[in-house]
Amino acid sequence: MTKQVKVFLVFLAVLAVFSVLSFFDIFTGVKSAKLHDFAIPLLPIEQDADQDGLSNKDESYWNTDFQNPDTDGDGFLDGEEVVSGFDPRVPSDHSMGDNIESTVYGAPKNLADTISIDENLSENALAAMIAGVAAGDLRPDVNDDAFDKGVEAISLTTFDNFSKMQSPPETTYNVIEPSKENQLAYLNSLADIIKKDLLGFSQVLNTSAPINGQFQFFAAKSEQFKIAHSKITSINVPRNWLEIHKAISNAIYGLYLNYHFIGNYENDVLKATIALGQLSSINAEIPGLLKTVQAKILEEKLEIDDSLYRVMDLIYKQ
Amino acid sequence: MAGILYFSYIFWWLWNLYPLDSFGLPGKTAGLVLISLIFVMAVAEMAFFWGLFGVLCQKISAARISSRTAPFILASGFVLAEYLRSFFFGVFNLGAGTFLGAHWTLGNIAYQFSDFSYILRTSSIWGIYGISFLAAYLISGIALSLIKKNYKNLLILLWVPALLIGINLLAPRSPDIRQEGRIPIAIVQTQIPSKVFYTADETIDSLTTKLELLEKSAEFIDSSENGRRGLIIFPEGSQLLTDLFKFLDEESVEKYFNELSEKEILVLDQIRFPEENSLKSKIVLVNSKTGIAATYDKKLLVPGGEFRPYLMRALLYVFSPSFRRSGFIDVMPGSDSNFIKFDDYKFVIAVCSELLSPSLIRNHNPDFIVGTNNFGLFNGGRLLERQMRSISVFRAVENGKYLVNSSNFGKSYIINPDGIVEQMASGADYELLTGTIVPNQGRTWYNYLGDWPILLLSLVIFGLAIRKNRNDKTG
Repeated sequence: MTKQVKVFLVFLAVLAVFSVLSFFDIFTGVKSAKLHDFAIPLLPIEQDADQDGLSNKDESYWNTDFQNPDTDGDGFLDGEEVVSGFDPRVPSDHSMGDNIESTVYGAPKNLADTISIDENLSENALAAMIAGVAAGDLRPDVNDDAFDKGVEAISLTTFDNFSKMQSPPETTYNVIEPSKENQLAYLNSLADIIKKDLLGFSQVLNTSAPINGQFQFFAAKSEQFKIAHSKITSINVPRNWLEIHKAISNAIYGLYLNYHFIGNYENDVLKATIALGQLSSINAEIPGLLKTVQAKILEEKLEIDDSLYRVMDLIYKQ
Repeated sequence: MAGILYFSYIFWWLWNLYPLDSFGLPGKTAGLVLISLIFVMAVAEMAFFWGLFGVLCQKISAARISSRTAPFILASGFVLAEYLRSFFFGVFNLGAGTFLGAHWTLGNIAYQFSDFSYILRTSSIWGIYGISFLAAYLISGIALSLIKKNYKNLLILLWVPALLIGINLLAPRSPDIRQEGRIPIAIVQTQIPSKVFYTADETIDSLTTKLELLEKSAEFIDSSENGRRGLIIFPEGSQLLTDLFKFLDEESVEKYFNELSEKEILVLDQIRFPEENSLKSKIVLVNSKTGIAATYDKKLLVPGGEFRPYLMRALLYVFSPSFRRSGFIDVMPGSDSNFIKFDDYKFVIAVCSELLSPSLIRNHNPDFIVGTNNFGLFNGGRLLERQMRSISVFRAVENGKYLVNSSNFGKSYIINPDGIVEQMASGADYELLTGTIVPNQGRTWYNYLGDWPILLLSLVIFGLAIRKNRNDKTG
């Protein structure tokens, strides 16, 4: 008997053992019934799995169930509610109008079932895969497309859960009157945070060295942004700056969270890997945020004696 | 005594690097160890070939060679020793960032004559090794005449100054310095210390000044009557694009440059760029109207400064534990040509140490030479800056081209093909230097032939001397 045949037989034996064990529901928290969910034919992320008018990707953004056309069970499809300006997660007769603008600030509000940031995505995905193998749904040798769809469903769920983790915590800001003095004081405080934290001049990732040797860097960055987030949420914000302030605060929170995920690479590889991509997205948003700040300064006709705003004026005046 | 003086000079040169915070070595002891090691290695590398030349001198004085012939043999030996030294400096400092070749001409005696125009101008014929040959010939001829009290020979030596004067009288006085076809050039000089990390205020202040100077540069080119294009040069270590990308996305950066001027401007910047698990010292040429036009990765990297030679690394691992923990990342050499063709501009780029290499500059017969220097590591020391200026003067004259040089922490300048510094920054601070240069397609003899004629001549003389010596012994 060749070595390859022996390996194949061992693999078959392992599969057989898993099948028997799953039959008796021995795995805690992994039910056979759930396995069928993974085997439900699903469409790619850009398509609409539950045919409610929201693509799977948009369902993730709105924190709605991508396999339930009516997440809040109010009789209206999720897509209908979004198009009509209603929150697809708030059951309503729509006569009162749960207008999105009144409940959220450009980002979905957390659902009651929002996933904890400590949730281990790698373990969850692994458990789902093991369960899929045990149930026979994740068998590449079967000629139907259940395997591909099962893997896709696990991936989608993982990304969906990761996306839910990105929601910033509910924060109460110290909103003050938009007098010129208040705005100048606010911008001075903001400049300090932008320079020292958001632009990250002081500590730079060594992008030419292997990433697995630099987790200390990510952990330190995470701590820096955690402090920065605490700073930015505690400063007084003139009312007319609230939207911009929240966007910057959310970006800093996102940086904290994703540096934290990468810093904890050893505990959750999958989450750290997705976080790397998310970091790039947040960093790409920073120039736009700064440009918004500069535009607002011009709009409010404010003159501030700070090197940050001087350089921003030079850069964005064109 | 001469050796002590000369090598003390090298120590002073290296001492400008201390302390070595910019290498990621904050420890003073570790810094001292590193500088001492580099000094010992530099002395050993230089002394080795001069030692060989010393042995040759001894043999010559002991042998029965006429005092008319001996200076030729000594001059040939000296030229060959110098050439080998410039090659083996790279071999001694072998490391991942090594680019082998006879590039390391620092310390060549010819550079001492950059202010002597009669000598300097002849480098357009035979380069620095030709001048080294004549210098060694004259010095050894005079020494031998005095030792042997043969004062008549001193008169014979006069052919050397006669030759120099003759060449200066016969050679065309100056290249084609015309007004049409001039290129407006703006050199942005910076003063950014070399450090591992910069504070937010340091970066923002530096970027503000760089952008202000960039705007003034664009205004200068806009107002220039010379052509529809212009060139803005930032020095090595300026990192303009790195800083700019913190505030702007790629599309906005292109828009920013596009709106600088109505004319088409080529902006030359240098960045450290991560590539394939290493760093590259990259010159980026941004066309203000179309985006990145070309890039060039520095080839001739500085051992100890940009990469760690194997020998030094081994010694440091033993003597300096803090070096193991330092954030030093080796830069890797590029492989592409330093010849840049941008529409009707044809020029070579020489990044700092590359100016030391005559062969890297005379590539492809450029119209002009663009140099960028960074003296940020030397903590304000002026010694290397002066040496580099002398060296740049030689590169301009050897090739008969304008040479423009932008410096960080040093003076920037524009040198014409005669080796005359036409314009120079007033200090080493942030400054804008503007001017025009004339592209020159004409070629000098040196640009055609390089160092080969003088090396071949030296080899022939040296070979004949060895042959005669053997014949004398056997006869």
